Amino acid sequence: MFTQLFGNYLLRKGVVTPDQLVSAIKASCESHVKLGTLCIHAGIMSASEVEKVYILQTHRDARFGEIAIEEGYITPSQLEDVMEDQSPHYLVLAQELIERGIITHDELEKLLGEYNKETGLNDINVLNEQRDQLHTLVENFIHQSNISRDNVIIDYIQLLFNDLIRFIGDDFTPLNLIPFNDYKNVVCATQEIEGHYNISTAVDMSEATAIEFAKRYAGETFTQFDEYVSASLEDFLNLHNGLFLINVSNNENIELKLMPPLSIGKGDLKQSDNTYLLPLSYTFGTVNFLIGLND
Amino acid sequence: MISRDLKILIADDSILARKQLKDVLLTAGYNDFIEAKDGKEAINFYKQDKADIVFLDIVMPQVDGIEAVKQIRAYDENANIVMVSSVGTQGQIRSAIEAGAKDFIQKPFVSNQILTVLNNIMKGN
Repeated sequence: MFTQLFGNYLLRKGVVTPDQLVSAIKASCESHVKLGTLCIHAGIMSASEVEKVYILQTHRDARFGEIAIEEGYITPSQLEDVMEDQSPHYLVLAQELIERGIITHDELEKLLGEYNKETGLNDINVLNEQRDQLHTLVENFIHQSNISRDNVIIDYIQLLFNDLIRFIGDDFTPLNLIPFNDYKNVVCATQEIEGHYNISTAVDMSEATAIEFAKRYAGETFTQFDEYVSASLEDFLNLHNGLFLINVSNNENIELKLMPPLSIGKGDLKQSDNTYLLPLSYTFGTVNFLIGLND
Repeated sequence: MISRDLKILIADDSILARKQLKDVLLTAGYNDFIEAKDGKEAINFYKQDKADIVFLDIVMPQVDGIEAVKQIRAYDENANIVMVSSVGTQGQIRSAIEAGAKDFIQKPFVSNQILTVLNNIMKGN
């Protein structure tokens, strides 16, 4: 999640344009060195063994490393060593920006230092699974948009970033969260959360973006906008909101009610006064989330 | 060995979720399905054509999954019902089991979870 929020910081500081950032993210995803390649480079797997694992991966819900160990190609400790050598994604992205002449090494160092100072984080390299630090990052992101630092919205957005990375992909940058009262939707799914907190949620995008979003979410080959693509948007929202309800139930002992998701016709979305627009710039298009906090 | 001739009722308001569940079961050799897009249809279809096992979503329009479990179990106390939902809070799981569901699968599911639960229920575990 650091990569996505650091991308937002670079945009906010005017260091990169949205187009430059999307293009660099695309390239960094492609240049992100695959584990198989690293294993070949480390001399612990042959190319044909790596190829075999990739084929097995297409039939199974398992990671490259898990299969490679099961097949006896590598040991768990060899996997650990190789994983440690993988560069964090934000550095691959930064490298891409440097190679394109958009920033220099010195500027990167300064920007990272300033961002760490802004967020109060001392060591970004230990960020990955540390919930409190991720909370601080998201809190800082929301604070930039002058929205009250309500824990509910911080938790909701933190989980949203996690779910997007988990189910859609990490090649996005969140743009700033802004209050929005007159949003014209295109392809849109909505869902209401009711109870102790009343939250209206929606996800909206163009048809072409929806097809790419649905392909990633459902793991299917969609070529045109149809009811399955539309259902993918509803299902993602329902899944994310369902996981949010579980977190609230576990952490606060509060049971919320989730209403069925709905697809909304073009321009028919109704918003409350406290609706915020969160645009996410993915490499395949912009995905807009709308979050309305109701009394 | 579980018979592959089971009649399976899948109730979910998402056409994609129904397809994904059906794909898992088709791959495992099952091919007799009834699909319902809400809880009301699920109850009506069960009464018209009793299924051997029912997979029910919770968040659905018309009648939600918990109420559908209650009504199906009131009609047939031996109905085999499994909840498949993204809202796996302790409260929802408790409500589903108290209403008569035999198991609960959290979305997103993996194929093995569906088939293991189906096998256990049909073996009477």
